[in-house]
Amino acid sequence: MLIILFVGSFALFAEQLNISTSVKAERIIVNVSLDLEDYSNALKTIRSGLKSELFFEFRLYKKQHGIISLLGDRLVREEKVLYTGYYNMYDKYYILKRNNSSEVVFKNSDDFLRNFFSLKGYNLEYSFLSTADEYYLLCRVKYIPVKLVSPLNIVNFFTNSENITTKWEKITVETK
Amino acid sequence: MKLLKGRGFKHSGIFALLLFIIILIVLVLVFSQQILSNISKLSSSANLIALLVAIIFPLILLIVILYNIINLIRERTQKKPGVHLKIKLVLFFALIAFLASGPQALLSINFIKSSINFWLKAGIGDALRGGLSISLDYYQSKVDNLKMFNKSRAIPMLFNGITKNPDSVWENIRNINPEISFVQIYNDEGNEVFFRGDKNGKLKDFAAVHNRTGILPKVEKQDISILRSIGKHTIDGKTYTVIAGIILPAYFNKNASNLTNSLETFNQLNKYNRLFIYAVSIFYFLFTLPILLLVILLSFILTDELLRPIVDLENATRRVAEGDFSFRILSRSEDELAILISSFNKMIGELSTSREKLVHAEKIAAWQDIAQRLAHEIRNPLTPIKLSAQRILKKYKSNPEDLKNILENSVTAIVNEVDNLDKLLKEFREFAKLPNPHPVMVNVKEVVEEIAGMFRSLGESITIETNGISDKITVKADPAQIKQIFSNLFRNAIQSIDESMRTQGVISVIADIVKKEDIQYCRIQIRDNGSGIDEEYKDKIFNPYFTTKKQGTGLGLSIVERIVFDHNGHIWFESKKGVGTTFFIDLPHGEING
Repeated sequence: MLIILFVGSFALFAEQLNISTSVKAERIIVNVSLDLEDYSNALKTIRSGLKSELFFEFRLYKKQHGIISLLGDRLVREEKVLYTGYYNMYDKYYILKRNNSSEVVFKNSDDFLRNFFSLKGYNLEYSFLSTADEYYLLCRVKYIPVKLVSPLNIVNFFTNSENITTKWEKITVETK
Repeated sequence: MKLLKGRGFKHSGIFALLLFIIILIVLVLVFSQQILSNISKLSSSANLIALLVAIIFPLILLIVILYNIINLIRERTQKKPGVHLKIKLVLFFALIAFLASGPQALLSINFIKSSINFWLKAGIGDALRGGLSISLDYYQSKVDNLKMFNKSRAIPMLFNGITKNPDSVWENIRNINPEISFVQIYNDEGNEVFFRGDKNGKLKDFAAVHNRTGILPKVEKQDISILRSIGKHTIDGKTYTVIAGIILPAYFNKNASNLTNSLETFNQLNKYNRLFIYAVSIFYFLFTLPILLLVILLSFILTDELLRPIVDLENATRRVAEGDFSFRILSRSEDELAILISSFNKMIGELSTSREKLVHAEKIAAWQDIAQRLAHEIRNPLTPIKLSAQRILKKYKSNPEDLKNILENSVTAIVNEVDNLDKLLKEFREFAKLPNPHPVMVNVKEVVEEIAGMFRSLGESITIETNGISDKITVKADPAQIKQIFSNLFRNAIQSIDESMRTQGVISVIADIVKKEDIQYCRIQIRDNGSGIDEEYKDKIFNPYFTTKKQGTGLGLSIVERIVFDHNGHIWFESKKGVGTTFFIDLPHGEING
């Protein structure tokens, strides 16, 4: 039984992070999407032959009660999904690579952008999920328009104004 | 015997710091490698290392160094031995470390900068873009060719007889379009009815594409790339699916990929060139700073360790100079400094023995001298006593009636000489049994005024000037003994002025504060305009029983010298015959009132 429990939408300066979670069996299903004000630059970058990256970061916390809560809530699961998007100039199609393994090809730029900036039906497995406990999920998205090659990537370590990192957004996971 | 602990070289601290530097360098190398592999995938532990290395660690080091600098400043203020050398060594080490890392950093960054600029200006970008353009045109021409081939209206005519004479069909295709590498034809039922050309191009899974038309995505197979186009054609009344393909030259795909990647890298380099140089500079600074700070910290420890034996030696030398010969330095190390310390200890031991012998010899000589002088001084009055007694006896035997004429003079002479003897012995006793001083804060002007008043009350017509003494100057001294100093010196000064000239005699006393070797002294000058001291007596005036006066015992100046010495002071004089004498006394200065 699929229960939609919570849908969150978090507005940032020029981008908006949408998160929704649902619980099915012992799995938390997460849908995340990052809405940009303007996708033209994102597309232009990819069309110029550069690669873009998008990180979806998840942290599942179990709420603590009593004295132990002074130590903070317990981090029970931490996952990261990496999208790499680029354009094949020869065959004129867009490629979306997930975690540097599976590839999906798009002929249409809109389809590609829609899929690149969203993660749908992601299974966050946690075998000890209990209806007696309270859980919440923190989610953050990091968009790197230009995936820099080594050693140019040290630029990212200090500052790169083009990169977008959303703040950690909290969404309650209702298990009951 | 007091032993100054020989701290020697504590290598553990230095080794620990060296180990720390090595660990830091390894961390930097490991972390650099991780950054170069992919910074965007850095784990939280790597981030922690970065934070530790980049911020917290230098901060801790900076605090420790600041603490050491404050200590150094404090030691400098306290004028601790070896502090100047320590400052010089630390500055020297820091300078060397900076000179070693600074130019290297500048050189490295400039080298990277010039290398990047060289590649950016060498027309490589144009070459890459040109290469890509040619490659894309080439690829597009193949695609267009395939599209055109499959759209060609001549195909049904061309494929007539595919079952009867397939080789002829293939030959015709090759004649019309020599770029076509293979042709594969499927009938309505999905069965292959024709295949000619390069077998690498043969499609095995027709079902996956049977509904599609147009250009299929390029397929890479080992080192070749296959381009296919699908078209539906009616040949002899039946519908066929024609798959025509071109096998691209070997490694086309790999080379094309290399080209696009190179162009991607070049574009990135072009775009982020400046930012990259800044990032490299910051990166270099962040990882060099802790090492530089560690070297400075190491210089503090190393300097401390190096200077310790020298400071110990300096301390011991000072103690020995102050007369403490029981001092020894211990050293646990076995280096050159340990040999020096051992030689020093041996020298002090020998010096102590020699000094003891010298003191013993001096004591004997002093007592011999005093005994001789005392015997001489006692013998002097004995002659008139003996002569007076013999005179009385002689008169008594020869003319007893006339005895009374000489009795009074002779007995008076005997009594006077006995009184002189008594006075002599009393002063000797005072000199020999001068008590230990009990110093308190004494106002110099008040004491001088008191003694001057005493002399004035005795009817001395001499002028004693005390204007040159500030009301606030004090010394730490025994009040009775300090009074004796002034009393003896004033008496000497008065006696040095001819009786007929005493109304014009002036004794002026001046006192001020002087500083000698970091110690403040109160310098008192007692100046007279008397006859001065003969050149030949100048080195004898402080000797006990040395006097140029008929009534003097010769102990006055000896007592003054002894009191000044007991108060850790110094006394000396300047004198010019016929002009006068000035005595200078330096006594440890007390507090300045007000």
